[in-house]
Amino acid sequence: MTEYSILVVDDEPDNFEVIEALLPSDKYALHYASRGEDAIACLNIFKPDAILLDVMMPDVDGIEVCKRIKAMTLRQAIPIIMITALSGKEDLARCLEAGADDFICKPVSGIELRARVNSMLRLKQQYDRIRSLSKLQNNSIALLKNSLNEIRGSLDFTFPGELNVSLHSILGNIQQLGSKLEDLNNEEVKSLLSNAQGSAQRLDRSTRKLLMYLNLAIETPQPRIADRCLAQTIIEEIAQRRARQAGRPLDLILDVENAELQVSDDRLRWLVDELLDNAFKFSPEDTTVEVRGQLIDNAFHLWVIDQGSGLSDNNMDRSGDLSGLLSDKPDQPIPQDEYSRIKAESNGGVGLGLKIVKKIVESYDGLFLVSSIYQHQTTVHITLPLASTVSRR
Amino acid sequence: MENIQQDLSLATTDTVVGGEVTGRETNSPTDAVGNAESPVVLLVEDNESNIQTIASYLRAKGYQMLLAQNGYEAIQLNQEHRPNIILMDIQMPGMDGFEAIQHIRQSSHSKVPILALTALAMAGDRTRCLAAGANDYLSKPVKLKELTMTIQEWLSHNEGSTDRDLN
Repeated sequence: MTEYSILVVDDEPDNFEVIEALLPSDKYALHYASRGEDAIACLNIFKPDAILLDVMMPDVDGIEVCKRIKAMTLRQAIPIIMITALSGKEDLARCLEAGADDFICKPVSGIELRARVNSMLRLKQQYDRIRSLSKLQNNSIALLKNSLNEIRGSLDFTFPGELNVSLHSILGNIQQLGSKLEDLNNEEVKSLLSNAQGSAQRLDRSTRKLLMYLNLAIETPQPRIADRCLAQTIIEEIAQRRARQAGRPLDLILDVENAELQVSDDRLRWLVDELLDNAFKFSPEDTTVEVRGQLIDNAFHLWVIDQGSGLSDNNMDRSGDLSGLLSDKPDQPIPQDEYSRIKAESNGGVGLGLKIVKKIVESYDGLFLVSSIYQHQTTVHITLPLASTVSRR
Repeated sequence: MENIQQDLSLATTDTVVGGEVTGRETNSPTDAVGNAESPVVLLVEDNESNIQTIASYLRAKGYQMLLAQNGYEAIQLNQEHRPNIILMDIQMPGMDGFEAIQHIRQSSHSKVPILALTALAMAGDRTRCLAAGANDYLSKPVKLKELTMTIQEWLSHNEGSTDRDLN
């Protein structure tokens, strides 16, 4: 049974004994103070759910104690029942004016005492419930505000660039087709169309990334126990495909231990795909892209190391004719190394890639670290949780 | 409140001055003990809320209170102030009640009545309390009326036979 904390304040200990005999100890934990000042000073210790307060006391009387407690912001919600020998209307009015929630006239009867105490406890519970609810709401609002600010930042900084690059490319190609159609030969038309199609595909991919990012940012996914996948198979498969697509199968170095991860198959694929897309995109041909996976200290560590600069110089080519349209915007503080890569990405049209990786890793309480040796090497290091036990190597 | 704080500081400092024991004198002790000066109760308890409740109640009943929050303080205060009776909580951090009772029984003020306060769930502890040297036990949550009655009983038992008067 729930135990309610009841503070009895009465200068006569015998009166406490009466109340003690009337309230069963399995339901109520009784505390006692013989003086008003003591009662006020000990509220922190007793943490009462209700107070039974004698009116007639020497020094500080019950009315005064009641007034003082009701003036305390943190304590005013504690229901106070005044116990009084006086039953004149004026006396009762004085109690209510002092802020008392209820009163009981002496001699105290058990039935009345329990009924009034319980009704006050009900009030207190309702109050507590409302307060915890409003606390919860405030927390949710703060959380939403943070997510919103983050999304706003990403949208301001990253997304317009992504859209612009692809859209301008599509528009540019179509305009050329429209204005010079008569002068162009078949090959040139095909080339312009294929450029436009490539850009449309990039736009499509950017849009899907944005959706993925928004999903992750708005509703942080809760990891589920059922989320399991085999690291080695997925990482090798995706890394090899990315290397082939980049036309650099020989540049890939794979050294991944196998482990069963507490990560959903789908998210690991997104994550690895973004990391390798990034690595191949921003490193020169005929330089290595190394993918290393190791079990250390009960976590899976994944490193993707490329020989790219981490700066935007070498990806300007990829962003085509339109790279000049993008100004170097100042942005919110991101560590220098991470900043350059994310910015570089943005110019290339895949600015959300690393942010998605980061979000996914964070949703599993993992580490996300980007480090660069200036114009020489970039390493992304992440950790992911293992499924209960370590599986075969 | 000053009295409570005084008692608490008494219990937590190592240097205890005898004069502080007096606490608040109430005009008319309601207890049945025939002593001219009001009896001194040593309460050994670590739970702040129990300390406040029991101490203010017994003080209002006319007793003088001595407070200790663990076994070591209890042994020391018993030596120095020779209380008329000890209320001993059994579950305390550091030296627990059993050990403290055994030490007190071997001290120079060894015959003081000791009432052990035990949690209801600890049925086996009661026999251990008595074996350790407690005179009686009360289960928690302690009814304060029952507590005073038991205290009065043991004080009248021990009247004249306590070695408090010998020193």
